[in-house]
Amino acid sequence: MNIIVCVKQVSIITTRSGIDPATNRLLPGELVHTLNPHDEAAVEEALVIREKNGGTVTVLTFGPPRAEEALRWCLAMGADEAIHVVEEASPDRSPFAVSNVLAEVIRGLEYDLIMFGKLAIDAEMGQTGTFVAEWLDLPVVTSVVRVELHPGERRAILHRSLGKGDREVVECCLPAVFTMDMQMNRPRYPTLGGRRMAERREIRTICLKKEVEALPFPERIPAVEILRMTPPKIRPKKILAPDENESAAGRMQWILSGGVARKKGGCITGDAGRLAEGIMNYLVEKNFITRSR
Amino acid sequence: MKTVGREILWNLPHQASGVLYSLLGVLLLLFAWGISSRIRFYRRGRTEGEYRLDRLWGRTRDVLRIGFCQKKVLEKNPGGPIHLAIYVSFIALFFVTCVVAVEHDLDVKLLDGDFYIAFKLFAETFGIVLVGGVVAALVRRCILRPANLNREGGDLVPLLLLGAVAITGFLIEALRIAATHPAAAPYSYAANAVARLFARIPVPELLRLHLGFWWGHLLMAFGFLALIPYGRMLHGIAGPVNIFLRSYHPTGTLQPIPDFDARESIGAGTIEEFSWKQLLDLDACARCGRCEEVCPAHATGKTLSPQKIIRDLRVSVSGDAYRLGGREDEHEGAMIEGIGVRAADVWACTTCGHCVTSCPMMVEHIEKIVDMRRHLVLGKSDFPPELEQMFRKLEVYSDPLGFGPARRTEWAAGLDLKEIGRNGSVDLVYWVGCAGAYDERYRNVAVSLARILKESGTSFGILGSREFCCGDFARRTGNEYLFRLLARKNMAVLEEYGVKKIVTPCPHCYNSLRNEYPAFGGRFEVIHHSELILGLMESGGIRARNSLVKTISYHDPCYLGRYNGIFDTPRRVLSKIPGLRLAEAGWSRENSFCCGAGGGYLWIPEQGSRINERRSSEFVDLKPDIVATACPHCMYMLEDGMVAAGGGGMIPESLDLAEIVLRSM
Repeated sequence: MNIIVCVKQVSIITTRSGIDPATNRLLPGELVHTLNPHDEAAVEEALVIREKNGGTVTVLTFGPPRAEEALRWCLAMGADEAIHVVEEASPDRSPFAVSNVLAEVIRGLEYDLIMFGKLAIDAEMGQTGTFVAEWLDLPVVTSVVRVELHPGERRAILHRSLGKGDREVVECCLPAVFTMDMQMNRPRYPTLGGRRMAERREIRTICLKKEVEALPFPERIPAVEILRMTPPKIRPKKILAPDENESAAGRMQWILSGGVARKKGGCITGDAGRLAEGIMNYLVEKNFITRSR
Repeated sequence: MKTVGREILWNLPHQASGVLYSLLGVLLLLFAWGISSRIRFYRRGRTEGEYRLDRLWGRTRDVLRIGFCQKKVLEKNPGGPIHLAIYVSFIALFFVTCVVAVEHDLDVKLLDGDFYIAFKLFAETFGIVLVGGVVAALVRRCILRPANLNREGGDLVPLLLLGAVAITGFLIEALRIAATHPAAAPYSYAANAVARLFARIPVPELLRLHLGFWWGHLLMAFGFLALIPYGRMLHGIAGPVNIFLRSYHPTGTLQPIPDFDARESIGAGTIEEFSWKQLLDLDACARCGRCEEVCPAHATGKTLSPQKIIRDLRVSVSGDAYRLGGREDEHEGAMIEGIGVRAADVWACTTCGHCVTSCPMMVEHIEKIVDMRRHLVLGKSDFPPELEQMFRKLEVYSDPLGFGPARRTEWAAGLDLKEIGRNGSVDLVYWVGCAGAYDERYRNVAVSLARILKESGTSFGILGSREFCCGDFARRTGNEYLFRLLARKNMAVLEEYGVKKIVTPCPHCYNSLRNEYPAFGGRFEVIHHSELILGLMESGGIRARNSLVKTISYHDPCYLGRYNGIFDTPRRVLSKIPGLRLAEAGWSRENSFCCGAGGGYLWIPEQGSRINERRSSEFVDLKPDIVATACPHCMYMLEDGMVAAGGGGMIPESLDLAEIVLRSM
């Protein structure tokens, strides 16, 4: 089973102070970069599948030269190959443009499965994987939290997260595109051997200018255009004030408690027998159970 | 004319001498085989970078002081004096036997006249001391049973043998006196007293008994010697060797790994991955349990005990079926494959170094524990998940808390500090540390120190957003890779600005920068803020004007005190503040009790009761007005601990030295 995992190095905001007044964008110096956690979960899942079924795991990214760090991390985790489509200056490309580039590269590769993170935690668009599936004419399943592969029958059963604990179980034929949710697993932490392997491995780089610019789509049809950016509105800070109807002592107590509201309902105290009795009474009172006579 | 003296091998058949020397030959063979098998065992260990044959005089002196003169053994009662009694009399009686052998074999007449009388008194006295020592030790082991003395199978064998050898010695002498009534009998005062009991036994019977006891005495003495390389008495040989080959770097400092960049694996997951010196440590251990007695993890109900780690390693190598004593749950929890040490034990260590400093044999526990952690983290990627968050934050944000470089100077807002690089170079770099930069509470300490420095007119600057975590937590938790990443990042900045001198309020940064960064090319002086403040107070740079009429207790941070020997400086700073009265805690100075944060333990959830509450309860009982520390981690561990241990009552205020000094200025 050959799996391609598309990853992104995301920029994490560490401060709100450094906004460039001219563009309203965050100052580059205020950012730190790391592998998108949803993508990392996808890499982990791919490695688990490879351990079970054999094959290879190839990681693919499209981004500035520094994105190599994210690929090295994936290699240290155990990925077999890495491909980096390099773009020197990095304007924020729309998912539409990115998906075109990725699809073009993937067309030249052999694969049974393509994985993405369900979204990148910086831009939070969550579209790239779906677009790639469209360009490659493949089925796509998003927000996957569990994968049961049946490689012999070339199909997979997938659990999708619908939020609030709801799951949707779907079946999908292969090859396909899955976008993974980070809650599905706990990615491995690279060992020293893995790190060394990552240091030695060669990363195949594709220069965007030379090779991909000749493609029909990328930037010429911008699907989305950013009109303007504004700094976040400063929201008034909520200050909790004690209830005026309380007595002075009551207000002091409220402040000292740190404003923690007292829970409604009673509190049962006493020894074990009394506690059990209290709980029983409560359950009976609320009609959860009925007392047998 | 022969007045006193005695015939050697009296009452023995003439073949006795031949049998004796054949037995001695067997003994020596057994002994040599045992020692050589131990040496073969040490050679299974890896080589190490440290050169251990330098400063020969210092090493010899340490063997004499710590080994021969029992300096560290005597630090504890009653084990120290009991051991001294057995040890001294063993040597004295060995010497006595040698004198007899010399007289017999070299045919020199030594045991004659006054010398013989002195010799008798000497032997008699030490014989009594030996019996006394053995009895006291047996009482301690079998009746008093202190918890830290764990009992293994065969533990009592050497002790019982020694006692039996001494008692049969007395019996032989008494039987000889009873049979021959020699002139020197009164000088063998103890044996003479025993001889009275035999007064009614006919002489031939006495002679038969004498012969029997003589052979018993000989066989047991030889047996004891032959068993030395095979049991716990090996500490008598491996111990002095271990002391001679000890490390001289500050306690707990981890040694650089020279070929790290070329290594595919690191740490100790098999016996072969420990160094030969670490294996020698296993034999040097006398199983006295002093490390366990002082271990904060053990004291608060964790399964970790330093002596158990040593024993587990030894057991896993030898395959010996020692009877494993100790806590009931110690067989639970996953073992590290290849060595019989439980992973939970390895993660419960705070690297406080108390086991290392209390060991009379200079066994170094911490390096072994860190080596096993390295194996778990970088070899098997199997470690407490809480640590992973710390590792990832360190790698992405360069600080363990995940605030990022952009927020590193937030604490200094409004202080108008020089930032190196931006505002030119300075003589002194103020290394704030991650706690000073990000922790709400500790920021006040960072600010206090900055204000003291400004007040004194010292020219200093901060590295601002180009200061990164020193890597101490990563290194102690076994992530050498991450530590090197951070150390290189920091070194690049320090070299770029040509930093010559650094002051820091954090003992962990202090220890790393001072003792571990030289391996990465660090050529700068590092001082702790207590040293700087004391210097400023003595030179008049700052003056403590306001009187603080309060009692104060000082908690020694492990990485400052035991690791780097700074005990007096903070106390001298406090003594210079008018009105302050120092109330020393019981666990202080070299015996300070860890706060529970070191070695990355700050990030690992604790099993059992909490170390910081145990530590704090002493201060709560002592009731000073202030508990002073000089370490960010100690400060918040104590602050939390005292709230928990205080049970809602009044508790001392937890302050850093810098805050106290600033208050009095």
